[in-house]
Amino acid sequence: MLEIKSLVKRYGHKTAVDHLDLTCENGEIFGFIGPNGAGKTTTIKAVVGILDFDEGEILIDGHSIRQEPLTCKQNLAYIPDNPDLYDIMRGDEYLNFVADIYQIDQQTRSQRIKKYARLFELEGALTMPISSYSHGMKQKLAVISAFLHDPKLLVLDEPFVGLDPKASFLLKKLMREHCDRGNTIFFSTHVLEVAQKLCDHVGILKDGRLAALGTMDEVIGDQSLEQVFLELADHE
Amino acid sequence: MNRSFVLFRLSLKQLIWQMARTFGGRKKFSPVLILLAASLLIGLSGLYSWSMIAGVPESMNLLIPLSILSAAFGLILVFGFYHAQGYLFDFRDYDLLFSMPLSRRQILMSKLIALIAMMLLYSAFLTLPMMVLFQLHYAMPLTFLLYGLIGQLFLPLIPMTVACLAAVLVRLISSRVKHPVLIRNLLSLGMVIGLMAVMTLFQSQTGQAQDVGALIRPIQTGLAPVYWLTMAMMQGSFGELLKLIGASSLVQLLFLAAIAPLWNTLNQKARMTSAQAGGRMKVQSSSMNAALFRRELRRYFASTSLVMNTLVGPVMVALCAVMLAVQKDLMVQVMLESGMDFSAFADPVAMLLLAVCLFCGMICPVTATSISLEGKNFWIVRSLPIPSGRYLGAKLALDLALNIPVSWLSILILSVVYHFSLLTVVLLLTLTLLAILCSGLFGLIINLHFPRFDFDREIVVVKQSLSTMITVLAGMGASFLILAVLLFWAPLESSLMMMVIALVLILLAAGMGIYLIRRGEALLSKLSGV
Repeated sequence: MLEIKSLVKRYGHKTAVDHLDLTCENGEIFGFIGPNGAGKTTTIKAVVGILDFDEGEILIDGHSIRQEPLTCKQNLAYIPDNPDLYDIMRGDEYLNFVADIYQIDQQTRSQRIKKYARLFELEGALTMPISSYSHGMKQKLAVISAFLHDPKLLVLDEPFVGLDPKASFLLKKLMREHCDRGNTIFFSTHVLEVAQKLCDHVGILKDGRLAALGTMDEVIGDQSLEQVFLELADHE
Repeated sequence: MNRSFVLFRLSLKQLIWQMARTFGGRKKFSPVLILLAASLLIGLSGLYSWSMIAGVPESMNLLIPLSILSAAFGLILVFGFYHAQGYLFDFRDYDLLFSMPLSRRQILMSKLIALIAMMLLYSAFLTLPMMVLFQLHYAMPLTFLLYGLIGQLFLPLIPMTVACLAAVLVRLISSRVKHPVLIRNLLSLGMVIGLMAVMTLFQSQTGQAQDVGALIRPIQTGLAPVYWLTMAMMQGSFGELLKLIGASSLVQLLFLAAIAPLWNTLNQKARMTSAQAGGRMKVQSSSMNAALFRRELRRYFASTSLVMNTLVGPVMVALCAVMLAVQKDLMVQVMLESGMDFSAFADPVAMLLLAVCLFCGMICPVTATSISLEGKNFWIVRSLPIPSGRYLGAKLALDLALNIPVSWLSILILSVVYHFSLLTVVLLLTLTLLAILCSGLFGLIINLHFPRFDFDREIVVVKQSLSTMITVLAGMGASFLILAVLLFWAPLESSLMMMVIALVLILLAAGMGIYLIRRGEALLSKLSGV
């Protein structure tokens, strides 16, 4: 579903992502972890077509994000680490806007909006302006909008930040169910316990390069993900 | 270090950073751009001052500093109002500063210092070339320049305080109503148009004066700080300079004392959003184009600074049309007495109307800032499957929707009042449409090349971004060029000339349209937002 081939992204003289290669198969949850400034968000933004990159290739369901960005974006959904949504809109207006862009029919969008709003306990808030939302409420709205078109690839950057424990549990459950239906999730997190429990594959990024990559068992062996992470982070 | 000083330094740093970002930040060519822009402004201002020095007799040379300083005063008043709302209420470090052991007065003063510095910069471009040229031409005593420079520091205080009071008044009223943004937009727009009207009336009052004394009197009473500074410079009067310094400082201090206690409450109200649910949840599907256009429309009317900057054009067109329709006889008389040769035109009023429509329609297209104003929300449109043509098309459509109906309606109504020929009506409608289309497309291209996503107040993008500056200058230049060609260089009959201009505009619009279709996605993909 997602192939990153020798990705390079530079900011001036600094190389943020340095020849990154990884693959996520259908039906798998891929955890992308690393210390601050390792290049996770840069990679994620390149994957979803927000950020141009210098070298390499990113393929989503076999389509290049550079050559066929619209086809790729039709198949993916993205939730950023800081969900800056349109303060000018109400929650339901934002969801309708996203649904209009994906051309989701009236019946489907109605069902999905109601279903996810009920799950995340956001029904009452959908008629309120987004500017009045808390960080967590915005995050929930971003999650609902991401699930609206049932994307083949869901890309999330620190999705659990700001969510209350119940919403966090719910999101983990939804992520697993989404992948069980054959879809793929690529997400970054600093919550290593969650990553260890949730992910099928994991990649640890350090200074723009992969320090470890493989299935969870391959990467951690008989240690915890936290121990592996700290060892890699300390190792120069 | 003194806390107030630390705050002042922070405010000035923020201002300098914003200025530097306007001209491309750390890009290699930014010093060149700064130099070019400064040279252009100083050059234009110097040229204007020189033409006045050369044209006004020595016995009346008092009028030169008087008129330039009056213009600076008016400029500070209008621009001060534009910026005051942003500086007083929309800065993002509000929470941080208020959590620190700083008094409201200190914080408010630091914001005002930044505003004063900006206004000083605006007025300096206008007044400094005049002072230097005047000093050189008339070999004035050193006190002319010295008092002029000292007075410069105090001249912005009173107009800026008036502008700040107006901004506070707008916030005070709008924070108490159900639709604060709508009311804020209406009040702000009304204030700007009101300020412009007062300045125009004042100008016409001084213009009708028969002698120097009569010319000075309205300034002496209406613009006392300008009069004091002029007298201080021309007569070397330290007393007049003291009057300016004393009155300006007193007004500023009174403003601080009166507004500081109120300011915190106003700021909190301005930040608060009604959490009340607004009716039933809507689930309504529409086309991608409709969704994008609706989003643009909401975005536009949510930004007071954008509305103030761009809706002034259509409002001015409407006001002019009403004036032309109501004062038909007076207009014809004014045109006859203007000394310009309108004999080549079958419908001179149509030319006047065209001039207004072109100038107001081309000078500030919404497209020049609409990509920049995506700001921190840019990730949304970039991660959604939106073709660049539709995305940019929605922005262009908004620009056309704001400008075309008013212009066309004005043309149609006046064509009935003044009995324009059918050909003239068709040409006016076509030229207006094409000019506004070209201006909108140009704005989009410039904004794609010079976006500004990292702003702390929208006014920074709306008024100070490079994209806005280029588009405004180009719009002014283009509208003047079209009118100059029609008025002063018409080898062909006027209708034919208009057709030729229309053809040129069609070619320009097609060229820009093709460029956007071919390069739009590539240019957008290079933008990463904040």
